[in-house]
Amino acid sequence: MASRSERRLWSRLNLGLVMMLGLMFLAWWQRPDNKLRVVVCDVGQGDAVLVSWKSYQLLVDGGPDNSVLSCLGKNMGFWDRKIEAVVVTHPQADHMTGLIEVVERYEVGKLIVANVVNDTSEFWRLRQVVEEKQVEVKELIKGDRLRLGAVELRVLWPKERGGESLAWKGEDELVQVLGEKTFQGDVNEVSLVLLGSFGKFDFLLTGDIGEKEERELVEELGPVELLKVAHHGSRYSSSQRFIEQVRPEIGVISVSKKNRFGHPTQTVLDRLTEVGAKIMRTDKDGMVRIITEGRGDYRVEVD
Amino acid sequence: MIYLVVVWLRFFNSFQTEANLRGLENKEIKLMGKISSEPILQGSSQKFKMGRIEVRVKQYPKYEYGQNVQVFGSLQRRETNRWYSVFSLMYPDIKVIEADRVKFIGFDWKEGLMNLRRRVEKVFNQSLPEPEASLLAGIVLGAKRGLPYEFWQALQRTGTLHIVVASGYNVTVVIGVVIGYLAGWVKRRTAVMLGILAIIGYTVMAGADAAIVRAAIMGSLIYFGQVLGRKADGVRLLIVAVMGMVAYEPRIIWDVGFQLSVMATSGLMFVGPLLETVFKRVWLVGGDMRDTVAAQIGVWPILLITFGNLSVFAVVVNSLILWLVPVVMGLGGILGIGGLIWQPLGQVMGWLAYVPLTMMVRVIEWFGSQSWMSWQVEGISWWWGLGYYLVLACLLIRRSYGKQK
Repeated sequence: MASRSERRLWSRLNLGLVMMLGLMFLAWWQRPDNKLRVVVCDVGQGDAVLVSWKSYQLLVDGGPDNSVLSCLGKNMGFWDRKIEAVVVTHPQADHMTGLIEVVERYEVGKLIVANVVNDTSEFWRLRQVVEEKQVEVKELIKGDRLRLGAVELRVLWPKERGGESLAWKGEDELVQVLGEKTFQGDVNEVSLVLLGSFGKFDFLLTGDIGEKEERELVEELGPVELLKVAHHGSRYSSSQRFIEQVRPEIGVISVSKKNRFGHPTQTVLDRLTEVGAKIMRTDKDGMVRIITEGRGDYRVEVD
Repeated sequence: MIYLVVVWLRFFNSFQTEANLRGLENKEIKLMGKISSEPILQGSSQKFKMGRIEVRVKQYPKYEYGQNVQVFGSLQRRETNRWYSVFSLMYPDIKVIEADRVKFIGFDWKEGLMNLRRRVEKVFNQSLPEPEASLLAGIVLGAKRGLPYEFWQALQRTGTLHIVVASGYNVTVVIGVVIGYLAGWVKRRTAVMLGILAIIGYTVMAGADAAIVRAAIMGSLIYFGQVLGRKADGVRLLIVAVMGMVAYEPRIIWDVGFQLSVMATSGLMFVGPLLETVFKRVWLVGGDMRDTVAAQIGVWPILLITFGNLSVFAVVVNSLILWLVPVVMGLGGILGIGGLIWQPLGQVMGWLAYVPLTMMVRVIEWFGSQSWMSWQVEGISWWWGLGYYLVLACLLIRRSYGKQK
């Protein structure tokens, strides 16, 4: 008959063994495959899109609160604490607030920013944590390219470099920048627009651009499989011409149930339906995940 | 008698404050003082207390417990009942006042502990994904600050919210560990005293909610009694704890956390032993089932009346996950300490803790998404609850009386 302490030791060892087996099972269960996943997170009234291939991740925007963290938890392996690149399409609260905790909790390879400053508490807080964790900040404009494993991304917008991205660099420049603030318009106008391609699968992430920017972009665009509908389906975006040109097979709208802006507008929904797009909405479907092998096939999952 | 006078005086005192504040309702007020509770994150806003007044501000900039601030806004009142209402300032102008240099001469224990807690939470957050990270923080520290809203709802619907409330179990573990490790090094009496100090520290760290304070008082008294060589009687300890807390702050009887804590403990004490024979035969989770049923019998009217829902299958969910709680606490403790020393060490422990945590999360999320999990019942009067407790008390008394015969 074993003594009490011996039995306790045995039961602890057993428990440890079970945990190790569980860990191995989970690691196997969440093992990366060769498919591209584009996830439009359900973050309420805001945007957060995760592009993931194998253990590479690109996060485009972070939503208005911390719900993006649960989305990352669901779509990344538990061992993976690195996000290769984070994009802030434009520094408005509904696109960047969640990124503050993302930068604090994950190892972020690069932070890619638009060239404007938005003088809000969220903006300065993000800048502060980016500096604390010494994340490399890069400003990209039209023509620049990004590579995420087998995924190729082209930056289509904004057109030109602004001076304000200096605000990310350090205190001295910051003072200068604030002294001669150059950008006067709506920050939505300089939203980063990304066109990604993985084999035969093309996806277009439009940030919050409006009709004016769409007009300039439309010439160089062709049909895409997936479109993140601009500005939560606002009436001032997704013009007839633009939608007809990109002819998305799936149009995802990131929007909250009750929002005071009346997003998404019926006109935009109709335009999408007319070109035969399947409409997915985070307010109705929750998180939307598109999985593809890049050979002309894809699968849409909701959660 | 003296006790009643004390309670009455305290009650009168707090009623006075209430009356004074009522006079200021809807008026612009300027408030200067310390943030007196750990700010809680809710969606894109944060909420904290300044004494009797709740303040809600935007999520950023972040405020911390103990900061000196000046707020300026219109005082709102939300009535709970005739004698008690919640006063709040919604999105006031807020300004941090630079701390007095003089103050830093003394060391603020409470602030130090809060700092430690923040650092441990940070370790959790950096080594685990959500919602596992905040579930761990909830189980180990009773921190509800970062729980994703959807997960919080799932916890409530499945009747498992109590696992993220620091309570009796945490106290047992804390004092057990301290005494266990000190035994042999110092005299038992000293070990117990240090254990009690650890409990007090832990209670402050866990935010000093009603549930943990009750557990801390009872736990300390049990061990203190041991030193004095007196045997502990659970019922008496509960009564002492309740009387002490009510004397200190009479309004606590309207605190839902306090009500739940007291009734759940009573359920465990009075109803639990009666269920022993039924659940004894259930393998592995029998004890958890017995405790859950006993606690549920104690608390369901409160849950029904305050929250308007009833988790019908709470027993099933609790039996599935409760046995993991001690494992998670152990691993979480090691992760917290290890991570503070060296982050990569924390990472490895984090992976181990992920296994039981994710099992709990999956179970809670799955059951939480089932519509048959909880029933919505609105508008039940307090009298029903009172009647239920009277009947229950009568039944219990008759039973114990019958036994004596």
